[in-house]
Amino acid sequence: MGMKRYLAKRVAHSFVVIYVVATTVFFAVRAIPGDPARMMLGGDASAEAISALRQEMGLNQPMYVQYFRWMAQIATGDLGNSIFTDQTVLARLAGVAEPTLSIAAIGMTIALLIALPAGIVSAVHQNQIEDYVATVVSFLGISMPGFWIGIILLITFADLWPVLPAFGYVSIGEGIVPWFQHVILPALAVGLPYGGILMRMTRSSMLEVLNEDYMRTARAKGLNSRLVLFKHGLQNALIPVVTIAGILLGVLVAGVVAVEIVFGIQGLGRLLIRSIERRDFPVIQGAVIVISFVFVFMNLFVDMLYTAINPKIAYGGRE
Amino acid sequence: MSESLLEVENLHTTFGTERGDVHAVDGISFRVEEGEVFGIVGESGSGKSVTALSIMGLVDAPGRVDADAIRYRGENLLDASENEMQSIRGGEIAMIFQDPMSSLNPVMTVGEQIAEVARHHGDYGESTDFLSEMKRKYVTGTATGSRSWQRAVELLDTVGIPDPEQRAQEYPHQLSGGMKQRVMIAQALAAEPSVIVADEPTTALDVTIEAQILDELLSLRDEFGVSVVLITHDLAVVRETCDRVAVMYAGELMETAPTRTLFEHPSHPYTNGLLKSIPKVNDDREWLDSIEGNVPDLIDKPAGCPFRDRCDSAFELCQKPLVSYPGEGVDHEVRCHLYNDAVEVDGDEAVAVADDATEIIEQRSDAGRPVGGESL
Amino acid sequence: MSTRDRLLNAVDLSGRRVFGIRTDLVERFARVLGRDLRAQVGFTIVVLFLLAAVFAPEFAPYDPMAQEYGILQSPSLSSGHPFGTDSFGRDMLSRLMFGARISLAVGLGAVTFGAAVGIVVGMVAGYYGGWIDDLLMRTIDVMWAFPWLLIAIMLVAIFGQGFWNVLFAVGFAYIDDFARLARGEVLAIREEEFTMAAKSIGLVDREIIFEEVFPNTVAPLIVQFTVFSARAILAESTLSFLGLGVKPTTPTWGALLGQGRGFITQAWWISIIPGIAIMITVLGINLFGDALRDAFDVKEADET
Repeated sequence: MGMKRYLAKRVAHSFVVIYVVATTVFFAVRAIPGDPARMMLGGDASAEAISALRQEMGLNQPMYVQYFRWMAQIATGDLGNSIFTDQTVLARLAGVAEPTLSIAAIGMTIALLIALPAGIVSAVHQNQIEDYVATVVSFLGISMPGFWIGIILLITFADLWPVLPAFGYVSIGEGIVPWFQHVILPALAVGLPYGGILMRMTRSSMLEVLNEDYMRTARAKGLNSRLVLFKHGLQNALIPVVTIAGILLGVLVAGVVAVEIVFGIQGLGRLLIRSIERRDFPVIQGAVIVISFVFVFMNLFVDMLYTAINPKIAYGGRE
Repeated sequence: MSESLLEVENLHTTFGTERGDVHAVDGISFRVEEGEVFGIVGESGSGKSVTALSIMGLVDAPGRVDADAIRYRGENLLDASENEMQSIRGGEIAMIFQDPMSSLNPVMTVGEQIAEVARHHGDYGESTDFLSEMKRKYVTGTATGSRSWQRAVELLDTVGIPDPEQRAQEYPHQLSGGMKQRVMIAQALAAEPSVIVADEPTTALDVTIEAQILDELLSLRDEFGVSVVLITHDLAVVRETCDRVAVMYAGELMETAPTRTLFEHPSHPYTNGLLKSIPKVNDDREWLDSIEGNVPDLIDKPAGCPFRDRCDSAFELCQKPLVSYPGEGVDHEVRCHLYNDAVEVDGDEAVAVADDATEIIEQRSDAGRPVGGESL
Repeated sequence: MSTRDRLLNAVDLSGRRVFGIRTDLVERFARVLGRDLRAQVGFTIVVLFLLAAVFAPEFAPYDPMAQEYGILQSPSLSSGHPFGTDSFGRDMLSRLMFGARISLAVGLGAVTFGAAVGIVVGMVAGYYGGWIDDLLMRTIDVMWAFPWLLIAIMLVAIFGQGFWNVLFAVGFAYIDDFARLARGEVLAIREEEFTMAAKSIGLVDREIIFEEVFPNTVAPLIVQFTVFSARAILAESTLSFLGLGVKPTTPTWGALLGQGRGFITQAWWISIIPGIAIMITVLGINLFGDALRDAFDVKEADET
C-alpha cells in the first residue's frame, strides 16, 4: 500500500479518535450529576447566586450551542478556563504535565530495557535456568497491580532503606539528579507490569522466529549463531512486539495515573481525578483531550516504528 | 580409485522423542563425484531431507548424527569444529531448501541475503565482524557500491533474473515463486561452493517454473563444475536431470545406480514398484499400480529389510539385515537379498536358498560397507 | 434420520464431530490439567480463592465490619487475628475473605459482560459482512486501545459507584478484543465447506451461527477469557484503590489497599496483605491461562 498512504490513513484515524474523544467527553462530563456552580459557591449559597454564576459560565445555554462554541474554541487552541481557579485550562494542564510525561517516558524505557533482552535470552535458552528465572519474574510482574508495586517500593526505599525520596516530584529544571531520584520509583512501578507483558511477547515471538525456515537458511550459509540471532532473527521477532507495545500503551497510561496517587505526585492523572470530584468541566475536558492527544501521538509513533521494521507495509506485494 | 568429492559412510541420524528413538536415517552410504548431479529419491518420511541436513551439520537436538565418516575432499566433517563447519557451509557445500517463501528472510533485501554469503566466505575485504554487520543491517544498510553487493547483482543476473540492480534492493515478498527460488540458487552460488544440496527445490513451484529451475541447476554443473545433490520424490525429475541416483526407503538405501541403468534395469522390488506406479501418457491400464501397505514405524523398526511387509517377493532371508549386492550394470548396487549369490531366483521370486546365504551376508557386512545398526 | 440430523452427526476422518462441540478439546483440556504443573497450580489457587469467597460468611472468623475501637493489631496468630486488623479494629482476614467475593465477582463478571457483548457483535459483524461489519467494527475500533482507566473513570463518574456500574465500566474495555476475536473466527469458518453445506440443506443463519460456528471457535475465546479475568481483577483493584470502585465502605481488595495507604509505615499489613492476595489470585489465573493456551494452540496440537 505504500508507506505514505498507510501513514496518512493512521494520521486521519488519529484525528477521528481525538474528535470522538472530545465529543464524548463533552457530553459525558455534562452527564455527571452535580452542578459546578453550586459546588463552587458552597452548600448554603442562594438560588439566585447559583443561577447568576451559571449564567456567567454559560451553563444555561442549550447543549448544542455550548458544544459548537467549545469546538470552535478548541480549534483555536483555547481550552477555556478552570472553574475553580483563575488559570486557563491550558496553563493548569501545562503545570502538571511534566511529571506525568517523565514517569511515562522513563517507565517505558525501563520496560523496554528489561523486556527485550530478557525475552531474547529466555527464548534462546528455552526451558533452561535463565528462561525459568525470567519467566517467574515476568509472571510476578504482570500479576501485581502497578500501584502496589509502588507501595512496596515506597516502603523499601523510602522507609526501610531510605536512599530515595518518598513523595513528590522535582522538575528536571532543578537538576537532573534530584529529578531522577524522584522519578525512578514511580517509573519502576509503571514500567514493571508493562515490561512483564512485553517480555512474554518477546519471548514467544522469538521462539516462533527461531523455528522459522529462514533461520535455518542463515545457518546453512555458514553464519555463526550470534549473527543468525541478531541479524536474521531479531527484527522479525520485534514486529509483533512493537504492535503489542502500541496496543498496551493504554495500560501504561492507566498505571501512571494510579502511581501518581501513591507517590503524591501532582501530575495529569491526579488533576483529572480531583477535577472530576469538583466537577470542573473545562479542566476535565481539557485533561482528557490532552491525555488522548499524547496517547494518540504515542500510538502514531509506534505505527511509524512498525512501518520501519516491517517492509511489507512500505513495499507492497508482488509485481 | 581417486577420492570422491563427498563420501558418506554408514550414516545414522536418530531423533529422541517421548515414544522412543526415531531412526530417520538408518545406515546409508553413498558418494558424490565432482561435476555430477546425484539424485536421492524417496517418498516422504524416507529420510532424504534429514540426510542432507546431517551432512551439513544442521541437525539439532533432539537429533543425533552418527556415522563412520562424512568425508568432503578427504576430510571427515564429523571431526570438524563448529568454526570449520561454518566455513564449509555456504563456502564449500551450499544448500537450497524446498519452500523459497519461508526460506528467505522477509525483512532483508534479496541483495543483502546473497551478498553476505560472498562477504563471509570470499575475500572481499569487507568487515564481517558482529558490530559491522549490525551497523550494516540496522544503521546504514548495505552499500550498493560495495564488492559484495556487486557480486550479488552479478549472481542475480547469472540465474536469469531481469533487471538485477533493481531486484537486489527488493524484499522477498515482492518476487514471484520462481524468482525466489532463483534467488536461493544465487545465494548458494555466491561463495563458489563445490557441492550444492538441493532439497526438493521444485516441489513448491508449478511445472513450467520447475523446468526452468532444473535447467538452471543443470547449467551450474555445466558452466561451473558444481556437483548437485538433488533430493526429490519425483522420479521424472530424476530422469531428466541426474547422472546417478540413490533410492531411499524408511531411512535405508534400496538401490544406487547411474540413472539410465536404474530406469532400464531396475533391480530392487521397491524401485520396480515406484516405476510401475507412474502413470504414462499412453497408459491403457484401468487401475494404477500402487504399492500396497504403509511405511514402517520408524521407532519400533523391525529388523531386516524395511520393505519386506509390502514386497511381493519377500522370503525368509529378508528378516536378515540388508547388505549391498552388486546389480546388473556398472556401478550398480542393490540392497536386496534376492541378489544374494546363494539365492536362486525365478522371475520375481526366490525359489531356493543355499546354506551359505547367511555367510555371504556376514562377509558383505564386514567388508567395508557395514550394514545398518552395527558399527565397526 | 432426517438429512439435517445426519449432517449434524457427521464426523470427519479423524472421528471428530464436524458440527457441534469439539469434544476432543474437552479431552485435551482434561489432559492438560492432569499433566501441566502450571495448570494444576493455577487451577488450585483459583479454586481455593473461589471457595474462600463463596463460603466467606461461613468461614470468616469475624464479622468484617465489626469494629473494636482503638485496637490496631499487627498480624499474629495468638491474638486471633492472623492478618492483623485495620485502624478500626476490623479483622483483616475476614475483610479479605469478604473482599474476595466482590473483587472476584466484579473481575469475572466484567469479563463475562465484555465477552457476551463482544462475541455477539463480532460474530454478527463477521457473518454478515458488508456495511454491518464496517459500521460495527469502526465504532468499536475508535476506542480501541484507549486507556481503559480513563473510560472507566468517566463511566463511574457519570453513573455513580456501585457493583454493577463498576462491573460494566471495567468490562467495557474488553468488548473490543472479544469482538475482533469472534469476528476473525467467524470469517475463517464462514468460508469453510461445512458452513456452505449447512446452508445448502437449509439451516437458518441464526442456527448456523450459534449451533455450528460458535462451538468451534470456543478455544481461543476461553484463553482470552482467562487472560482478561486477570486484568479485570487488577482493574477493579485499581479503581477501588483510587476510591472509584464499588461503594467506599465495602471491603474489596483494592479498597483495603487504599485504606492502608495512610499508615504504610505504622501498619504495613493493611496495604501489603491485600496486595499479596491480588497477586496470588492473578498469578494463579495467569498460570492456568498460559497452560490453556499451550493446550489449545493449534500449532502444537498434533503429536506426530
